[in-house]
Amino acid sequence: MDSYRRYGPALLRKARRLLRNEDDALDAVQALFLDLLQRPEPEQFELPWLYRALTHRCLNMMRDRRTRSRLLARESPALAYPARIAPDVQALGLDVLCKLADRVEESVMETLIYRFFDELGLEEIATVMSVSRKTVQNRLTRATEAMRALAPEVQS
Amino acid sequence: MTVSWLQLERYALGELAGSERDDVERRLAESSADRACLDTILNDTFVMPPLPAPKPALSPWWWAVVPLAAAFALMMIPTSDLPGSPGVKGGEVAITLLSERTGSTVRGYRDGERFKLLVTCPPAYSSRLAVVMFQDGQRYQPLAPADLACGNQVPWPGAFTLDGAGEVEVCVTWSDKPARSARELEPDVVCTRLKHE
Repeated sequence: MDSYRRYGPALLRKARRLLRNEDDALDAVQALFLDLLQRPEPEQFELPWLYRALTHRCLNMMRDRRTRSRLLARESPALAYPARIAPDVQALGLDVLCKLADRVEESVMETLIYRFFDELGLEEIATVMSVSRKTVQNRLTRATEAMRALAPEVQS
Repeated sequence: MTVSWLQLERYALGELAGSERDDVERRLAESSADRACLDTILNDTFVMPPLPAPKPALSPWWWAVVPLAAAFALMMIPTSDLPGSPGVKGGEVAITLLSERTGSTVRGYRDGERFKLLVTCPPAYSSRLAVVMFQDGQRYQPLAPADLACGNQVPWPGAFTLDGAGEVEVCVTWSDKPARSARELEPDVVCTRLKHE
């Protein structure tokens, strides 16, 4: 599959940033392409679309409690990439992300990942998610509020 | 302004053209942090391993069981429990949970058991649907929201695991409210309960 060879490494880097372990990152990317291969009509996929599909897949892994335990056990902060926008958010750790994933809607979580982990600009997020810039801003506000609400629990 | 990872990846792949490419190059010239990120991409020599062989498609017996089980499950769902809202009329959305292992409908769950979800909704219905789960006062989203092509017994992409000890309420909702219980989502929700076995 051409898309796998072409975009696999870029998607793997994204999955590593988020899941913070090599094995699960590779599993997530390969599972995504295996699913795409099973589509009745062969299609060519563009990277922004694949970024989005992979984001959903990683969020599913965080929400699934079995997978979550494994992710937390395997988390390797050494896989973090240089953070330019919000080092404090990226340093939160997978446990906090998983807790957030339980508390906020998928769209908010997705926006948070694009902004703080993929470091997309607001316009770029709006384009990828096909929503307005204002909606992106509102979702980021909700994500920030949820993180703030979670802070006492994390500190304890 | 930072060059996003997505833009850097596309730039490294040679997918940006014209003003978009010029813009990225200008920002790379101005920001050492952005250049460092581009370097991590260019220096990543990891080669993707071949894709593993896909899992075999669902076996024929599974397909034989699903329609029967789904039909049975639909008959078991009391229509009075189905939602009513301006967008969806009462009784137009129904859900069925199937054990992924056996393909049969279930009334309870065991620790670690995986389930698939089938949704019946009006073909013309286009709202985004979400799966939410309530257990021990907690809300979970076991599956990503989906824009299903509505119809009869449409499989939701993916499967999810149940564990714990308490009763679980698995719901499909077309509300965006971050509710803490199924009741808070009414009438824009349809649910089914499973007891721990």
